[in-house]
Amino acid sequence: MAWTLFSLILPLLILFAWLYVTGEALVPALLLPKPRIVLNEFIVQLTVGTIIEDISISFGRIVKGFGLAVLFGGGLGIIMGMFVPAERFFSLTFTSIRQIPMMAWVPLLVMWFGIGEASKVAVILMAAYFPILMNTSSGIRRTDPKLIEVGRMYRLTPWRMFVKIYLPSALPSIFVGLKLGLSISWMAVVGAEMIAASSGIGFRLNDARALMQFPIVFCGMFAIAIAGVLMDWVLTLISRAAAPWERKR
Amino acid sequence: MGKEKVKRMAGELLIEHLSKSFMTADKQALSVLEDINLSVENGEFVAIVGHSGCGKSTLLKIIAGLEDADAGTVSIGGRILTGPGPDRGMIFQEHRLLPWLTIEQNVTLGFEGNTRKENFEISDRYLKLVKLEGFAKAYPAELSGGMSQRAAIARALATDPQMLLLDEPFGALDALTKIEMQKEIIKIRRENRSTMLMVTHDIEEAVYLADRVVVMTSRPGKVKDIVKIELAEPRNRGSADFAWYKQRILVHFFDDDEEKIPEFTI
Ligand SMILES: Nc1ncnc2c1ncn2[C@@H]1O[C@H](COP(=O)(O)OP(=O)(O)O)[C@@H](O)[C@H]1O
Ligand SMILES: [Mg+2]
Repeated sequence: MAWTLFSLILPLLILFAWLYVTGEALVPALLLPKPRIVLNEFIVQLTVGTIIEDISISFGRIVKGFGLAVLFGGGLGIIMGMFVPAERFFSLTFTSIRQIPMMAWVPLLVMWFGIGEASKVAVILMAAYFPILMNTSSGIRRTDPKLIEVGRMYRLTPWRMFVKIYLPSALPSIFVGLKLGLSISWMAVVGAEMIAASSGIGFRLNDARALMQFPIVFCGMFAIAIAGVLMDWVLTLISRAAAPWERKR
Repeated sequence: MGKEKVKRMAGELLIEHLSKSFMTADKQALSVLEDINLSVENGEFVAIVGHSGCGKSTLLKIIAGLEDADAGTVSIGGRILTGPGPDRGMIFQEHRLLPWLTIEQNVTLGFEGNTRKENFEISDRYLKLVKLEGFAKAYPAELSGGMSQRAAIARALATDPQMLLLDEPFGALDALTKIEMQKEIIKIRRENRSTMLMVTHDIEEAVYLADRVVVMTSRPGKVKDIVKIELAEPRNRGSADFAWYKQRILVHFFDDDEEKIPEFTI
């Protein structure tokens, strides 16, 4: 509780600075609207419903793209973690592809998949794929050889070896990958929607900017931050539930 | 005359001309074990002592089937071993419990396709044996070092192996816990009549527990001496005979007076 209050100090300071700067009219109201105005706009947006709708459209894309990334990235990550030849085979290619910033993929993916849903999902998949893959594979590979010896001693089948030893051992690392992948794909989808989309929170932001509706731009940014924090929080809860033994340490 | 009897007659462990070397980082062959010959009878307790790094753990791992030998064979009752088997259980210096499994799940790790009830019964039985009843649902992180090592012993015993391989199992425990565990091992041995092969760096522990103590040379490890401990049970750590055996083994670690056996025997 004390720590929760402590971590609220900085946001409150920022809010006060914002109130002060706009109250004294130190910056043009057009560039930085007053908190009151943004708050009013937020309430309007919530009641009229466009922001919720925009966020849920973007979130729907995340679910699809992130789900695919978990499936493919996690799957291949496990294989690369357990079999050294697979790791060697893919390593150079993947390390090279990873150097390309995800936003640089957007033009190509739009060319391939068009401006609709598929290209957004593809951007998210690209963004989340590598963090999930790399963290899964390194987590599996870092499994304590001493515990693997225990598994061999009890002659566990490959499947039980995976379920009882490799997977739980890699779980913390896998969740690091999932969290990283989720936050990157949230950034990626907003970015992609700003560049090429006709719906979603990124589109709304860009649209409001073009129409000079700056309070809406601010609301949109807050909404993105809040949604991002909420998603991260849900993943944290899931990771705790998935690893009950961690709490006993 | 059931299965039990047959299992207990699995036969002696025979190690013949066993050699093993490792490749070091700079591509040099490091000879760790050289021409080891040893036989261990059914139900016998053999302790292995030697300098750190002389290959004791490697020897146990080869017997366990976790490492392959370069030359020579290990057989039980004439059957040459090629990998881990249900006839051998291993207890390591570190407890090596899986942190994500409860104690019950750890103890029943060696069983596949058991019902909940069967697993509960097995874990209940062996946790009682090592005085850990009530901890079945706990995670390893909730146990002390001594309790964890007990749980590891329960796990090894649960599959009812004919031979237990113990690699400095009490090395990390405090003196009192250690003595308690040694007594526990004697009790378990009496009940299970299993063969035990224990690596230890504690000569007192070796003399207290073993029928025979194998002394190994520094790397490459060879069998330097085998000392038969002829002391009545229960053994008295304070007796003069006990001290004599300790000294008898200890001289091997100080090369200059290797052949000298202390004179104060009674
Ligand atoms: N997997 C391995 N690869 C390379 N060297 C090893 C390996 N295992 C053990 N060794 C080396 O073999 C020697 C004997 O090791 P070990 O059997 O653990 O000795 P001890 O248990 O008697 O202390 C040590 O010098 C160790 O560094
Ligand atoms: Mg060792």
